[in-house]
Amino acid sequence: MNLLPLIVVVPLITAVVFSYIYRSKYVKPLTLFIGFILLVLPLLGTYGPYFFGGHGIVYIGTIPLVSGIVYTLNPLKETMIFTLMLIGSIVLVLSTRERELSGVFTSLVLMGLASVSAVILTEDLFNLYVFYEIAAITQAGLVILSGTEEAYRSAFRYLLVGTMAGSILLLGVGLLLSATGSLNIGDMGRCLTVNPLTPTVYGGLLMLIVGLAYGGGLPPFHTLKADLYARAKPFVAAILQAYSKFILIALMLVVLKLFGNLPIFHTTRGVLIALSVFAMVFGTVMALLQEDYRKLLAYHTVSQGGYVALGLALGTPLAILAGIFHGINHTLYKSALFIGAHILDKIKSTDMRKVGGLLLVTPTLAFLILCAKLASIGIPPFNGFQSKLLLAEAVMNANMPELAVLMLILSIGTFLYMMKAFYLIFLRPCSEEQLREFKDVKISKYYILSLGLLLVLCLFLGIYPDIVIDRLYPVVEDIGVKWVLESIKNS
Amino acid sequence: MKLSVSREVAVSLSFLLFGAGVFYSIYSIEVVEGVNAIYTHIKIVPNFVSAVLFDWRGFDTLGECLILINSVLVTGIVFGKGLFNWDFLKEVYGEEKCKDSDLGFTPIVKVLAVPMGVLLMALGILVILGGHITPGGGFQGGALISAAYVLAMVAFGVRRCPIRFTYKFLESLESFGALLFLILGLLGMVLSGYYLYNIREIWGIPPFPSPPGVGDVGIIPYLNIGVGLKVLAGLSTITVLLLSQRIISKNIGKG
Repeated sequence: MNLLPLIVVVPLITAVVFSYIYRSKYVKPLTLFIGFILLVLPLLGTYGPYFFGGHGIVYIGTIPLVSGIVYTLNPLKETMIFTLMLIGSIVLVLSTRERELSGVFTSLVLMGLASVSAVILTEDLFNLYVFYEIAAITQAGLVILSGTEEAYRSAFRYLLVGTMAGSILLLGVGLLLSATGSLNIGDMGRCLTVNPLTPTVYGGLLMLIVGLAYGGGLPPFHTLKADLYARAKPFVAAILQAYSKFILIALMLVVLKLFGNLPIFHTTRGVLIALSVFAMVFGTVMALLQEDYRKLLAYHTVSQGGYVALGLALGTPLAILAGIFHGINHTLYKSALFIGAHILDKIKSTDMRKVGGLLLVTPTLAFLILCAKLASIGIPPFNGFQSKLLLAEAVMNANMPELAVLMLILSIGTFLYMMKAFYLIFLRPCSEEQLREFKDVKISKYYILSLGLLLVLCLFLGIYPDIVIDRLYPVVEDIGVKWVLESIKNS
Repeated sequence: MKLSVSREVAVSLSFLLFGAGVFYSIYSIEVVEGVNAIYTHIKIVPNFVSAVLFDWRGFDTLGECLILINSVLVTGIVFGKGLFNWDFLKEVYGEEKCKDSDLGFTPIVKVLAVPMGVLLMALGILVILGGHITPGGGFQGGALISAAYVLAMVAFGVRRCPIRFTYKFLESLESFGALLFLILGLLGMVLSGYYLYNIREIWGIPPFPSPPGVGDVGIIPYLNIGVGLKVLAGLSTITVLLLSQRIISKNIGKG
């Protein structure tokens, strides 16, 4: 029996249970337990389609149509879900070190994990919308949990814009449904290539892109997302960024599958590339200006989201591969950086003006964070280097060398602010008295261990990137847009 | 000043452009029948909408239920449920006396609210149970019952409300409704291999007794009941949260 739906259903059931028993004293051990269960989930499914309710393919005349909801699993989706569940598991384990942990937090994290894996797995546009909406509400809830006034403010702003963007996405789904008569992404794509395009399809595409920009944190919604990451507790921000990165990848893949083979994709591609370049530049420039380490990381997340979107928007198989690989890598090292910020928050504050000289206090932490920073800048032998190299190669192959130059300049910017933060936090001299104060704070072994685990993964992927790339490439080759390659060859 | 004017112009222009695009695409809509042909030709239960909601696309309905559950959970969090840090809420609610007051409606409203509430509840139960035969279903019926509760709450205030649903009871009801849906789905998976499979019979016995002529309704009525419980509890919980200050002060550790 194919156990694929359990990837979504098990977290959902446990989320409902946790939201009911949120005050129980067993919440901590149960959270720890479910954290380990999550790691098994991605292995449950078997590759291929899964028909919900047993409603398979039916024929109208000679045209095959999917009548119900379909999920498919392939190596690409499996890798993404495994990364997501790994981050979720680490965050849940770390949350047991919090004094005020309640079942509500666990419930929300599980709800988010279930909904994002559903967004990744689904082949149905309406199903995608439903779980996208759950993920949006979950993210706002996770931010409010930190309980400060700024957190309330940014979460409300996010939700307010979210109602608008969510409704627009729903309207887009409705328009595409009316134009194609199906909600299955494969069927819709086939129908769109056969029939002439109407303004309804263009409207649907526009609205899909609005939903994508909101869910993935591309402009014009990037400030909302950056605010969200900066106001949440840093270890919560680790899971928030994983959610939005995977939603971004999933929705970009949907756009590629639906519109990749249509003439309109030429314009769409331009718009998406422009959006991602803007996110890259804006994120880097804003991160250079920040005094607060959390905000710096938040804007860095926005800029890296731009890299991921750029790869997927280019549409060649290599570029899509590079984009997704960078997304996975970024999720790993960014979680490490956010967990580092959380330790910093425990020691004193994430305001970089208030800390300094921590190298003497916690040399292990300093080393681990330095490694994570090197990975994020893209320095060998870490994974960030491999995916950025792949992305640069893809950009050159797609005949856009100017983007490669831009990526280089932005990498230098990233290097600047990451090293500035490292200097201010770990190297800047500070008084004896302050150092003694910092030394009194006890750091849990859990944090160091999880940081170590993430960095070992980063190093491993940096040395043997083929393990992931070989799994992804066959899938990505099918999605890749054929005419882009042909037009490059001709020119 | 100058900046704000140019910003307003930019906002209205983009709004106009986007709105024009949306209207143009909706204006030129041409609906293709596509897969709907199957939905309208294969009879599962007499109410075709129910058939689409709970049989063809049952997993979407589950997702919609979970949106509601999640929203109720987040509303609870806004009012202090399970926060990591209560300093801000204590600052906001610390000064006020946390007593739930009677809103003081006239006797006319109070007298009318009771029979209306009873009628609405009865109608809601009817709509939930007959969701597979007649128009309606779990969402609508649940909303009707919670409307009765809201009516009573608004007319009588929180403390003297004649319909005594406690906050804890509503929470359990909501979790129970959602779990019923999720576990019925798992049951389908155990019996047939497909999640949310509409089980027509278990060892020759139909799971829901229905009069002849209706057809094999399978588990759709049970799914309707699950959704109904969850919707009624969810909407009522939000109302209680908005009306009652006692829960907030309990959450922030004062009461």
